Amino acid sequence: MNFTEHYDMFLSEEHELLRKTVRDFAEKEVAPHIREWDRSGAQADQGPETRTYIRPLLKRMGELGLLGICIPAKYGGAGMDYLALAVVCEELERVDSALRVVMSVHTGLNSLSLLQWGSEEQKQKYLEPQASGAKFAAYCLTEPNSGTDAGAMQATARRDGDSYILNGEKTWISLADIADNFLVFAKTDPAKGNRGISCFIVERAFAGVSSHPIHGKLGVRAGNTGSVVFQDVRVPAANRLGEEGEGFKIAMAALDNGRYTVAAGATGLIQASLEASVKYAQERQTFGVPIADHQLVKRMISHMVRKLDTSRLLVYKAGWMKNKGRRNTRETTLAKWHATVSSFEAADDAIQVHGAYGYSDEYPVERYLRNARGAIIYEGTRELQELLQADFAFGFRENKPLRNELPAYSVEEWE
Amino acid sequence: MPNEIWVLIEKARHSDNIAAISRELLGKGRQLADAAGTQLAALVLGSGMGALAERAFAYGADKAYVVDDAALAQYTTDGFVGAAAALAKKYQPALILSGASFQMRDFSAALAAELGVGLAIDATNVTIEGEQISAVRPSHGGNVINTIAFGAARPAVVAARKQSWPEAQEQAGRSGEVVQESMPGVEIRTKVTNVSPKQGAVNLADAAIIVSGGRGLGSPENYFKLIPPLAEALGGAYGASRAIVDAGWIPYEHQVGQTGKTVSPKLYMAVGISGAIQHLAGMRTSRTIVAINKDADAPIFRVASYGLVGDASEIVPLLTEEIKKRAGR
Amino acid sequence: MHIVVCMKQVPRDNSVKINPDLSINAEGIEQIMNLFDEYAVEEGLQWNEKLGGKVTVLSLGPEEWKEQIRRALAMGATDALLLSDPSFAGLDVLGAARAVAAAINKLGDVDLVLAGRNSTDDESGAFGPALARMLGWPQLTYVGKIAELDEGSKRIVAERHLEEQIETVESRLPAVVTVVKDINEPRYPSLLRIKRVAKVEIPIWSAADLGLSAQAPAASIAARVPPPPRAKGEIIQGADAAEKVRTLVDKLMESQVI
Repeated sequence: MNFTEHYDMFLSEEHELLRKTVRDFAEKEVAPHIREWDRSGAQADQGPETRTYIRPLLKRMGELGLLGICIPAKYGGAGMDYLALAVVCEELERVDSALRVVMSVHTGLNSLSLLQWGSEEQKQKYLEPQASGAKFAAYCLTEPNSGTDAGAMQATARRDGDSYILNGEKTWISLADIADNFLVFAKTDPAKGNRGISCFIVERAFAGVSSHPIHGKLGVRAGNTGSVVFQDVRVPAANRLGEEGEGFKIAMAALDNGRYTVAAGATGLIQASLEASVKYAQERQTFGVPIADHQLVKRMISHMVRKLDTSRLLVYKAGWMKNKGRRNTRETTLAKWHATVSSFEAADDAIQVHGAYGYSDEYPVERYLRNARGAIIYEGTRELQELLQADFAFGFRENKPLRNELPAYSVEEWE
Repeated sequence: MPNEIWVLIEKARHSDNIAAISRELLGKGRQLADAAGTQLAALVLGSGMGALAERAFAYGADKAYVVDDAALAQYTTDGFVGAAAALAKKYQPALILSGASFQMRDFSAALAAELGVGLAIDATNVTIEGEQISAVRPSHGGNVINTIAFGAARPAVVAARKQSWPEAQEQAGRSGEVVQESMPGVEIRTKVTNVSPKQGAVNLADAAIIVSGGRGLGSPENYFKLIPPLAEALGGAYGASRAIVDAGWIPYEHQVGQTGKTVSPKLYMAVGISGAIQHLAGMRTSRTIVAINKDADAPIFRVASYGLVGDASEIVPLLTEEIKKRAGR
Repeated sequence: MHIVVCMKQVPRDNSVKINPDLSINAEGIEQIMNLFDEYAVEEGLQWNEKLGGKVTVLSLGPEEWKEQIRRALAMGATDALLLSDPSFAGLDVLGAARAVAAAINKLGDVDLVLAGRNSTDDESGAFGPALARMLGWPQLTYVGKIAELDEGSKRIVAERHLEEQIETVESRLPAVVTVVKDINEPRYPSLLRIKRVAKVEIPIWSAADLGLSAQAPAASIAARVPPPPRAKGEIIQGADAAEKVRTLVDKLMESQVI
């Protein structure tokens, strides 16, 4: 059956055309190779990123307009809305999470932050080439000793005349070895804790920037992840995004967008698990009947359906709110929590439906499981999301207005 | 006597005989003509191809309509359809049978439209019951078998799929009546300026035996190590599933399936092919299907006449050797 | 130059069922643009980029087919036309060609008609030739390359990719050309265009607009059945691969398959 039908309370015909286009791309240009690409990530040894398919793949995504999907046309984007971003993420992760990760860091975390906080000059200089796919972008928040506790970061940026001197190491950075531009968070005033963090646009071309890949990941093996080291990097003051000390707010606002892409992608992964299971359960026979006739198999299928529809609805609700210009931290984190946890469970059940075949990479479902696991950790752990929901419910937490909110979608202005 | 049955004769590519498809059609045409109490006629269109009429008699035709004209030296739609339509109007055959190669599809569809008569392309059977002519043609990748009932307009135009019927046996000393006709005054608006063999052409549609490989083989190296040698030992051609064509292991020419070639050989061997519906669409009408796959539940086994469950890397070399040994190749 | 591309919507795969009235039931199967027609659209767009003018994507079918028409518009087609009428539902290939010919005559200024070599559901490849005959135009089928297309001299030079040979053919325009997969690599719809075409009104012409009266088809579907089940196969057993292989070859030789 068609699992994406009847969402026209959120989606219009343009989203359906977009969905088919992205699906065609992912199925034609990625699906035939993904098993080899995923294996290549497991086989990679220490040393620099040497896999040659990654850049051309990003370039194709750029040519198609995916990298700037929800960026206004005047900044080089495709001028579609935030729901279009979700549709792209769903369809990409339906084939492989590594594709969606590109959308998360390049578009969700980096480019949308530039759209939200950037000066006109910064948008012209950095957002435009990123939206058109001429430049690739990443987001550097996590450090070896600071993840969920972002305020504990050790990277520093010391003011020196018209520039800052940036020092620090960021890790678990998607596209670490590929990106041209990084959004880097560092302390400009270490004494002030979270309020002492500032955000900078750093080009790989700046002296003192180096990167190396992380090998041996459980999942998302087809993608590049690594560490980026900044050693006495001189960053022009004009490259500071937002005000000095506003970095933590920018980082958190970025996560509202990053988590949204992760949630949408996880929905695509649930769909992939479900589709693979539905197909296999009708082919495989035991005790003289297709296993689709066994009740406990049916239960696994029906649970996947429940998780798929609920995840999708939560994602589209958050996207609808973004379109309206409403703060959506609660809705986005709820979608991210529910969809990522559900995607792992769905992939797990998909393996169970496939039996021993699901346990080998003959079938894609073991890759789905490995790929789903990371999203329960990155961009806010499952535990963090759970606490957030309770705090919102108790009223312990509320969204304070930001100096710059993510702009509401407007057909005219995005054109 | 009821109206005649005509068979458009094609020349074999590599001999002076008539093509295998024409021998098949003459065999079927003979049967139909005998049952209906009418004559079987060969339609020979070409330049310097008159000798084919004699060959057609040897394979069962009673009669031959021959248009021998320089304008027909090359196939053109206007030339062939023009000549055939003029003859059909003059002699009113009940049925015109042709093959269903690309050229013959081009011909039969245009002919039916020109004459305003019914058409069945890819027919696997034709029947005549009294006045009713019917043809059976699969569509939707063989998932639908259509019976086409022709209306009163004649001739019924039928382009038949290869290997639908046994070829007619040659009968020495058989002869028939040759009706020479001149080329009608039709304008030939297309001009063939060059014909060259297709590089790396793989005529899967013509092959009596096809060995196809799929993603279960693991790598292109494995494909080429296993599949072509087996095909060669069997004297057949080698094909591929869409998955490995898309992955760039082998060119599109080799693709069997919905968006590749539809084949119906005597023997189809599917090695490491799971049997996606799009693949089955292209080969399910093969007479004998052998499937080799390590997944005992692969859907390919459901259409297979013989299934071997196991590792292709182990089975195929043994099979190749066994066939070479036994068939004395 | 005005190029018309004929495009049909088809089910993504052919796992269709048959309705009691013998129509095809493709419920639950995703509908896509006929694969070979996508190549025709791309070819039309490429020549339009070189020569200018219009590319009209034309489809005959129910209103739902607008989705694929929009896809072609998002790829770059400049115009669209849907021929839709309740009386078209049961048309065979020749009937469809007759209606499309009427539409092309009504458009009046068409220089070239492109279509895929066949649809992946009907599979006959009869549409292009039938259309050409009904228009009274020359046809070039199974084209894998259009080498020349000249508006001034009204000339086309194309390569027909047949099973084992390539024919170079010259013809005058207007003409009908059907294309094969070799001809190009279709582009994806442009995301910028998707937004624009989502709201474009697609004109619809009915049988009455085309001046078509009902005409009994020259042949009709008398029966439609699923394929007979294949004779149950057997899984060859054996102690090891060598034994299985020997058994298989025995059986193939016994039944004179090899």
